Amino acid sequence: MDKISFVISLLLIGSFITYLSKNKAKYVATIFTLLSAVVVLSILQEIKHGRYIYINQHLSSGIYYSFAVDGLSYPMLVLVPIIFLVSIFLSYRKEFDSRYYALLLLLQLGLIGVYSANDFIFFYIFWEFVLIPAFFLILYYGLENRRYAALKFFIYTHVGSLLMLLGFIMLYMKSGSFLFDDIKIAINEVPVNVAKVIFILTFLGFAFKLPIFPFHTWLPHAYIQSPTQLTLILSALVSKMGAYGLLRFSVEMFSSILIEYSKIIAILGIITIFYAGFLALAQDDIKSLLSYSSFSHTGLIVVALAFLTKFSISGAIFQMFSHALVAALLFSCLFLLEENLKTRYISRMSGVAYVLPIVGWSFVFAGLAGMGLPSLSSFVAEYLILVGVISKSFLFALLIGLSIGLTTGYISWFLQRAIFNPVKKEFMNIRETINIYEILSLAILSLLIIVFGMYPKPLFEIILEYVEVMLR
Amino acid sequence: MFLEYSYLIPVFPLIGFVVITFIGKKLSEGGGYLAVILSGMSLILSLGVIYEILKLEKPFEMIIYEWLPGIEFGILIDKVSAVMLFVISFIGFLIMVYSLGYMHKDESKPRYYAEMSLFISSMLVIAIANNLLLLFIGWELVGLCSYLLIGFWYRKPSASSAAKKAIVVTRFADIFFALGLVLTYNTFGTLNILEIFEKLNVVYSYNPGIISLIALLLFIGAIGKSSQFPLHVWLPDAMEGPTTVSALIHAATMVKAGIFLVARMYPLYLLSGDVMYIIALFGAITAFIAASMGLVMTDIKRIIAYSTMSHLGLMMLALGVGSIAAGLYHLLNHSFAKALLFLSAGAVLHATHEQLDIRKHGGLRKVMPITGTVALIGAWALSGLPPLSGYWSKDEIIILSSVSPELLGLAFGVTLLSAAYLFRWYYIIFTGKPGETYNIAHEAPKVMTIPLIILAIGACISWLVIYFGFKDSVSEWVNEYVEYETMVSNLEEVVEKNHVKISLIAGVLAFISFLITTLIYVKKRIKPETFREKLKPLHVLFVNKYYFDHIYNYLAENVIYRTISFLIDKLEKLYDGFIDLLGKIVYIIGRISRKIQTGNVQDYITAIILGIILLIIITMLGGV
Repeated sequence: MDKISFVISLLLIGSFITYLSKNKAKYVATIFTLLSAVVVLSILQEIKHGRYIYINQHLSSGIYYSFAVDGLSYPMLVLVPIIFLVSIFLSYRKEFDSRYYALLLLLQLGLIGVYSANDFIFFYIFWEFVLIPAFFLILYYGLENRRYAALKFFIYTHVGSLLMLLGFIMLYMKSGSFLFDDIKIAINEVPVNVAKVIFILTFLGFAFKLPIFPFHTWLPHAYIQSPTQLTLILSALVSKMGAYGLLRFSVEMFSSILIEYSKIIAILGIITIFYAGFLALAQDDIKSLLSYSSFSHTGLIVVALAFLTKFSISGAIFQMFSHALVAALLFSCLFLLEENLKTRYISRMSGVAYVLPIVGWSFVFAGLAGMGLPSLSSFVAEYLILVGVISKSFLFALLIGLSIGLTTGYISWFLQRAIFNPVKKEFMNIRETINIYEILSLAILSLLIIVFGMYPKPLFEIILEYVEVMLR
Repeated sequence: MFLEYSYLIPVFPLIGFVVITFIGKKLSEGGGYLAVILSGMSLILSLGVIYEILKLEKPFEMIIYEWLPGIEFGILIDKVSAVMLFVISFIGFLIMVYSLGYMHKDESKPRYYAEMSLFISSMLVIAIANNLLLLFIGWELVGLCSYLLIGFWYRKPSASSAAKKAIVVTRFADIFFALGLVLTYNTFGTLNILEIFEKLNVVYSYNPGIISLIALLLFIGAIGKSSQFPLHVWLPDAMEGPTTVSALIHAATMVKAGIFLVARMYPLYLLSGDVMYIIALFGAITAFIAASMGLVMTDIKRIIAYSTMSHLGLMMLALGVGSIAAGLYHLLNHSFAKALLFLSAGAVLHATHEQLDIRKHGGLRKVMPITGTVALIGAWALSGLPPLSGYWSKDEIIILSSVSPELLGLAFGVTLLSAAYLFRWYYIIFTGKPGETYNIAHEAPKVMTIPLIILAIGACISWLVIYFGFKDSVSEWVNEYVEYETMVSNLEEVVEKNHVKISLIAGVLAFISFLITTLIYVKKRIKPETFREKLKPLHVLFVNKYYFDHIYNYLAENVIYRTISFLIDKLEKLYDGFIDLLGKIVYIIGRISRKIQTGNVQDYITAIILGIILLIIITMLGGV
């Protein structure tokens, strides 16, 4: 069996075993996540030489059972088990039942599938499959307004998915195959106007998922109402499916059409960045502040890919990777903050660094990573994107720069009010509770952010190899 | 032999940062001794490196590792970096020693020593970076340390607010630095500093505009970091941090990074004349407005902060008119004197329960003789009166500014004001009638006074470097890349012609200013109130800091936060409601259309017939 099929079956079996193992579920889920991490990491040696196709078997009528990994999918693929490990570690302190962990493993399965599928039907199946455990996780374990949020999330992203499906069925009529490589060839054969329609349909599909302004109103509800352990997965990995789709299809396959729309897409990206950034500035709820901040950062990916240069695309991929780590760290800090203080409103807290030294200072670090401090991974992405964009448009580079200023503004203002300032009287008697698994989660994420910021070359080379082949 | 190990210079304090962060609480003095030892080691190594580089003709470059393909991080040491290296490691070490006394009673010592170590390490990286991107990384990390250390006592609202202000303002400026950086990469295809210089003339020959743009963008970054007009507002507030932090970061080293950046990239600047003029003008304006604000402040540290700003302006002025040597000469001299002033203020604060208001002090010289004496040396050195170190470089800058009348006018204004605000500071605190703090004040411990004395000696003699070929060694290298000497020959002519005259006027102005201040605060012949009354509008303007803070606060609070952000938040809620409404409409249509499904065969047949008729009509219309 090939490695991807192995991980997928491992997680499928894992989720059954987890479900049946009742009160040992959390440990079983941890073991299966670790196993999949080992397998996914071992893929690295194979993709050193560009794209690696794991299996390519024709099933029937143009549907292939096919998985492949390249410089675009590998960075995300390798993050999936790591982020899930963090999420599971953070779930330890809550008494979640075995169903919760089983659903998490299913969600992980779906994401692995999305990031490695090489055939559109399989891509679509996994894409939709991700929705199901996510929907139930929000519905069963969310906060007070979870029904509304779950339904909104489901309908919204489902509409997007259907548009995307429509686009690909139109292409299938031409190519008779769903294999990515065949689709890529077929695109050049359809009339330009049809190709444009297909491009717009698929673009919308991904725009709903990412989301891009104005298709975003599901995001705050879903992010806020989810349990924070899930929010971090939604923000780090699920929303990146949209970015991945944009890069895989809109950029890689439709690059000739993308060029025509690049101004509009770049403008949408800039609006996303600033709209969400200003929203973040206005929030009192830290969870919604972080949700909007995450939304704002995905806008950067959109601007970057619209310009279609070697550096901006590599930057977009690097940003996907780096933002996943940063978002996961920010939401982890928020989770621990809320667990300790029983509130997540800025106006109801101050002096957190004094009361909760580990959580507070981790939050400061995460905030700095969010601002794109050089020597941390997010700066590498911003640098690459700026190099790419400035070669095409100084104005857009300037706007991206100013958006970094806005990010600095809302993050440092949040840190000032919540983490610093005099300690609230009611917090004086609180003693920080944090277990070894939570510390480990924070440490893993922080370490990765530092390592990839100080020495981005190995990861960048993997990405660059993909980008250079793609742009040829 | 030292040069090969020069990469260890920033590594030592970095080790300190990591170790103290994790196990600082278990170390003696919260890791203080470790931090002192490690910064001492990097001082020794720096001195060795400087000794070797002075003998070398060529700059020393060494690659350490590749950050991204084509971007190699490594070490570049030449005479410009040697100046910076010396200032950072020497003053850094002294201030670390001083901190052992100053921070002794603070409960968060480990955090202090960790952050200070990280700061020294990153600052050293700026000085010896071979690559503009590595320099930028150091640049942002010192910004980070400045943020953390300004907010060191973060439970004070004023401190956490000042920290935010500093990071927002400097990062706003850094955006432009970053843009300049990527534009450099796109233009030159490299970020290696020496390689950029080598390609300068080629690029200049076909696209001189881009060089000016890059120079301008980098300069905006320098404006933020070196607290120049109009982004100077963060520096006075930065005094919320511990005084040692103000001395090291906000006087001697980090704020010099902007000056250093311009000096480092000097060949680039020489090719963009307009930007050079902007630098000179902004420098002169900063120097003047900072001096005028310093004259009316009452906070022991803020007065010196404004003085720092004013002197940074003078350095920019020197660089702007074309003299890298004068700029760096003043940088060196100022670093000693200003660190000395801050640390004397620190000794006063340490002994008087952090009493910041100078009006509460008085006559402290009697109880703190050493501090009082060194403070006088510091004030004297910076006031523009001979013969201490500040005088020589400042005098030279004023002479240089005579290339254009507006610069000269501002420079004379600075001369007139600086002796006044410095001696006002000194007289009020150390002389006259005993103030409220007189009884609790006491001389600082030896661990603090010894660094003070060393700095005072430095402030007296650092100007002597000029006799060791300082000027030639920091400026000659520029000739290798551009025709520096021919470019500034005009400047030399002007200087030659006006030398004696301007020097004399400046000296007289400084002396008059010193005399008036002495009459006011020592002889009490003139009451300060009379000045305040007569120049009321000016006094109001100065005290309100030219309303810069008001304007920026208004923009940030009312325009960005209360208006834009608020409106978008409302818009988002409306839009979300609209989307829900769409959902509801679909739902209602569904409920209505459900009624069509009657299950009655006749209804369906009727519908089919109607449909067929409709189709026939459509085809007929279309067919014709």
